[in-house]
Amino acid sequence: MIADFLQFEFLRNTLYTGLLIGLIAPLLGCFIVVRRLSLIADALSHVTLAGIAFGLLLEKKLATPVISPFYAGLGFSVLASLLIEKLRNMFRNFQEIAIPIILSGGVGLSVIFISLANGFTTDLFSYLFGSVSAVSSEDLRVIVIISIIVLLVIGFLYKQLLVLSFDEEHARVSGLHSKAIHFIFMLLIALVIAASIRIVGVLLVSALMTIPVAAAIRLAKGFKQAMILAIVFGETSVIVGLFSGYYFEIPPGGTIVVVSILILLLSFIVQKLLLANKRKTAFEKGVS
Amino acid sequence: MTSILQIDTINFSYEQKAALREVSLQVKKGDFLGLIGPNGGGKTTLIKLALGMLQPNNGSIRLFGHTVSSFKDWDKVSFVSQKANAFNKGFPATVFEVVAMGLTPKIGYFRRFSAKHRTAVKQAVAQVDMSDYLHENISSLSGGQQQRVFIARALVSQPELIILDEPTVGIDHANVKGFYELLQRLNEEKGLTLVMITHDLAGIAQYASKLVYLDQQIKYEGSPEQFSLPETDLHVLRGIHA
Repeated sequence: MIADFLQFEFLRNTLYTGLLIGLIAPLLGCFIVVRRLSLIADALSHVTLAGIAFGLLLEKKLATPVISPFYAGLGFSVLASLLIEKLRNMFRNFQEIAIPIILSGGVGLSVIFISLANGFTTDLFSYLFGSVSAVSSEDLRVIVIISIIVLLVIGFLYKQLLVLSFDEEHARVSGLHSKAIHFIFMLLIALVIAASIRIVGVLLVSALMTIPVAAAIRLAKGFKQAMILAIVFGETSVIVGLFSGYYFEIPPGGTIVVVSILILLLSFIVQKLLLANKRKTAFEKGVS
Repeated sequence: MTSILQIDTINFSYEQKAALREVSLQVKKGDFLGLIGPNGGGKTTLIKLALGMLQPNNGSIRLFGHTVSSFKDWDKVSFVSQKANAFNKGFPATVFEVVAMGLTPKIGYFRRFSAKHRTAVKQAVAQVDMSDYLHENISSLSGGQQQRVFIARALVSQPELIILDEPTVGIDHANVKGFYELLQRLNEEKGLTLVMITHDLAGIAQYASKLVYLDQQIKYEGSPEQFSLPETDLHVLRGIHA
């Protein structure tokens, strides 16, 4: 089975893409989770679906392709990230309201575009739940570029993002450009979602950004440790999920998410064992 | 003595509601100023104005001789906010990581965290007697220990002025005393200028070099030993400590 992934180009593309999103989605997810913005990833992924449906509609209606569904999804996702910020500023006292507005708007637009096209075939299904055979060489190139951008930006802004995530007021008083950093952060989320949809699917992409992080923060003492663990869990979920999806002929989005949930459950058990061990050591120290 | 913070006849209102009226205040180098007053008396508002987070309706505020709007040397000023110990308790951050955050503005965007910075973090943690907890998760510490970590974060950039907004809230009595002693040591030995908002009149009066009572206007400014208020304000003050 592993040989297949190395032998066939389309499977190689899928494997490389999987390895890249297994790295960048949990990496960015660490900041998303600690900033309590997990639902923003969900809202953006639903808008990405609208963009993809729009792209598919154009493909179906027009003889010559104007914009591929992938780029349309990317464009919608970036625009929605800007719109969420606008709405959060407009509703300062109810900032979370931006999320259902954008999420339902995305689903609404998707329904309209799908209806206008009189439904879609397997293409839409693969965008919804991911596919092991959907990644073209062109997709892979774009995903490599997105991954480089994400890694570079997080590399440069790591310290600032950490301060902003931990204590927003301290960040503002320290003279950090909080608004600009947050804006860049939102754009990164939009890019990572667009990069992940081919494999995980729009409906499950936020899971890859949050579940490995949820498992990591149960076990980590510090933020860097949490990032490393989240990436290890993300990569494990993607690799096991991709191979099992291919073997059982199931969309990989489902298997990747199930594997990541299994890792999360395992993290609960490991955490309990670690705590019990710590208590035992403390008790023994007390006795002696 | 050099003036660190100079506030001249400022007024401030939230929409139509006046929060500060004709407030003037000077903080000199080496002062340990205790800012007390009733809830809604404008203490936090005054600090936010001093830090440039709000703009006064009129009057002027100068930090280290510069107007706040043009002030650039923010590494000279540290702030420990009321919300500092209300951080997300599930946040996976070690004491080292939290204290290192205090260096972020100084390091900037393109410089890396170096061995020199690592040493500065360890020194700041040692100053607040928390070296044994350097690699512990901040959430696993007590309220008093967490507040010491936030002081270390404020100290790490070697500021000249630290502003603290009710830092003793939620800390037990024994730890509050230790906390005041730590501030006094930093003030006397390191020459740090401190401005501390508090409701703890009895505590701050023992350690501060200067006391200001603010209830929209400054009702008292002077030494803690000579602190006195008109009868009407004393009623308000007794209400705080009832």
